[in-house]
Amino acid sequence: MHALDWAVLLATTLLIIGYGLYKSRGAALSGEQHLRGGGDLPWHTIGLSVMATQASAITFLSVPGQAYEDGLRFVQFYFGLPLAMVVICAFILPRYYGLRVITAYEYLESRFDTKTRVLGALLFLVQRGLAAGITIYAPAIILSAVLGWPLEATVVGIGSVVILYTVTGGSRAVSQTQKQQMIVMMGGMVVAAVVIARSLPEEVALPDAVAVAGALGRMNAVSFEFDLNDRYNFWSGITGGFFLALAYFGTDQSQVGRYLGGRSMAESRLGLLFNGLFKIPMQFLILFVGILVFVFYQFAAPPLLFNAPLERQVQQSAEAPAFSALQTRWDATQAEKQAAARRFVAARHADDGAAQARAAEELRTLHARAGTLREEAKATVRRAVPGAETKDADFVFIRFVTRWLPEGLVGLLVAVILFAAMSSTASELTALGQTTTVDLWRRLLRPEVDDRTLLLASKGFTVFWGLVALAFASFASLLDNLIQAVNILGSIFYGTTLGVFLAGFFLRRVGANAVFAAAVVSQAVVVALFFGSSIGFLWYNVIGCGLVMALASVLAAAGFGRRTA
Amino acid sequence: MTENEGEKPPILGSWRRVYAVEIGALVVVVALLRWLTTAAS
Repeated sequence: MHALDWAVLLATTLLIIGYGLYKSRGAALSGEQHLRGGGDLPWHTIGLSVMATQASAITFLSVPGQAYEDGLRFVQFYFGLPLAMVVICAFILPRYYGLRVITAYEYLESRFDTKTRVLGALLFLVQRGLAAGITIYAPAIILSAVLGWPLEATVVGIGSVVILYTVTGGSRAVSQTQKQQMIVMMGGMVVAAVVIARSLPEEVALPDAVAVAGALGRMNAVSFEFDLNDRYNFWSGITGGFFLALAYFGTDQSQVGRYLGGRSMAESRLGLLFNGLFKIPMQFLILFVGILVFVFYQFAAPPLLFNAPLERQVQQSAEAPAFSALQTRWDATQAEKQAAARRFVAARHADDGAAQARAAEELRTLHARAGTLREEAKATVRRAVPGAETKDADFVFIRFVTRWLPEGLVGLLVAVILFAAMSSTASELTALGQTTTVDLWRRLLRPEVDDRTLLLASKGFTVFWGLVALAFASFASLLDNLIQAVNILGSIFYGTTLGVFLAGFFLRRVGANAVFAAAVVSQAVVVALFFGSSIGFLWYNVIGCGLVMALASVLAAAGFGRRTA
Repeated sequence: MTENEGEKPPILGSWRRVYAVEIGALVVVVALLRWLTTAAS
C-alpha cells in the first residue's frame, strides 16, 4: 500500500471510532444503560447497525470472488430474509419489548424457567465465542498474505481496536460506529463498481459488460427450478434462507442486542424492515462488483492463481518448470479470449446476431479451456505444496484491488474490509458480554448487584471475551479448515436454540420441563448425527429445530411438564 | 401482545400495510432479478 492508502485507512478509522465514542459520551452513566445501548437509537442507526453486524469481512472478500466463479445466484440465499423480518417484527419483537429484556435468553425464563434460559445462553456463548475468533482471524490471514502484514500483528490490531471502543462506549458506541462503518463500506463498494466499470476498454459500455457476463453464464440471479441438490435457487432461498434468518435475527444476541437498543418498538421495527428492504440490493451490489471484475478479466489477463503467496511458493519448488509451461499456455489462451471478447462486443454494436452468437460460443470454449488450465495449475500446486488450500476465490477481489485500482481507493477498500471485521466482532463481543453479565453472572450469582459493579462486570466480561477471541484467533492456524469447522459447530447448536424459541412463541401448551427435555434429547441426536452420519451440516439446523418442537409437543401432550398457567 | 398493538408506524397508518409493502418490494426485486437473468442470457 502507498502512503495515500495508509492516510485514507488511518483517517477513516480514527474519524469513525472517534465519532462513535463522541456520540456515546455521557450515555453510559449506568450499567443498565451501558448494556442496553442507551435505548434511544433511531431506526436508521438500528438498520445500518444490524446490516453491519451481518456483513463480515469475509462478505467483502469472498462474495465478489464467488460471483467471479459462480455468477449472481448466491443472491437468492437472501430471499427469505425480508419475510423473516416481517415475522420478527410482528410476533417476536412485541414479546421482547413487553418484557423489557436486554438479552433474548431472558425471554426463555419468562416463558419457561431459569434452566432453559441458562441453556439458551450457554449454547450461544459456546457458538459465538468461537465464531468471534474466526471473524478476526479469517480476514487477517488474507490481508496479511496479500499486503505482507504480519499475521499476529493484524489479528491483535483488529482485536485491540474493537475491544477498546466496545468496552469504552458500550453497546451505544458500537451502534454509532457501525452506522458510519456501514456508510463507508457501501460507499466504498459503489466507488469500486464505478471505477471498475470505467476501467473496461473504451468500447465496452455497461450493457456490453452485462452481455459478456451473460454469455459466460454469470448473470444467473434467479432460477425457479426446484432441485434439492442445488444449494442456491429461489426455493432454497425462500425456505432455508427464511429459517436461517429467523434463527439469526430472532434468537442470536449479537443481532437481538442491536435492535433492542431502539428508541421505541416502532423504531426497532423500522430498522429491521430497513434491513429486509436493502439486504438483497446490498448483496447484489457486492456480487455485481465481482461480475465487473470477471468482465474486466475478459479484456485483461487474470493471474493463473489468485493466491499470490502460494504462486510464489510453487515457483520456488521442483514444480516450477511445469507451472511455467502452464503459465505460457494460460497467456496464449487469455490472448485468444480477449480477441473473442472484443469480437463479441463489436458484433453486438453492429447488431449482427449470428456473429455475436459465434463469438459467444468461442468465448465459452476458451473459458472452458482456461478453467481446465486452472485445474491443472491447482494440481501442480498440490504436488509442490502438499496440503495447500488451492481454492482461491477469497483472493480474487483483494488481488484485483491491489493490482488494478488507483492509490487511495486501495486504502478505502482495505478500510471497508477492516471495518466489516470490526463491526461484526464488536456486536459479537458486546453480545457475549451482555449474555455473560445478564443471564449468568447477575441471574445466578449476583441478583442484588449495585449499578456500578454491574457496569464494571459488563465491561470486564466484554474484555474477557475479546481476549478469548484474540487467543482463539492466534491459535486458529493450528486447526485445519477452520471456517468450516466453526460453521459446523454453529449449525450443531443453532437448530436446538431456534426450536426452543419457536416452541416458546408458538406452542402454547408446551411447558418448561417438556422443552428442556426436548432440547437436551435433540442436541444429543444432532451431536450423534455429526459423529455417526454423513448428512450435510446445514441440515442440522432443520433437524434440531424440528426435533425440539416435535418432541416438546409430544411430551406436553403426554402430560410431561404441561404448562399450568 | 399481537402485531397490531404498540405504536402506530410513522407511515402508511398500520403495521400490516408496512409489512405488505415490504413483501411487495421483495416480489418486485425478485421479478427484476429474474428479468435480468432472462435478458442477459
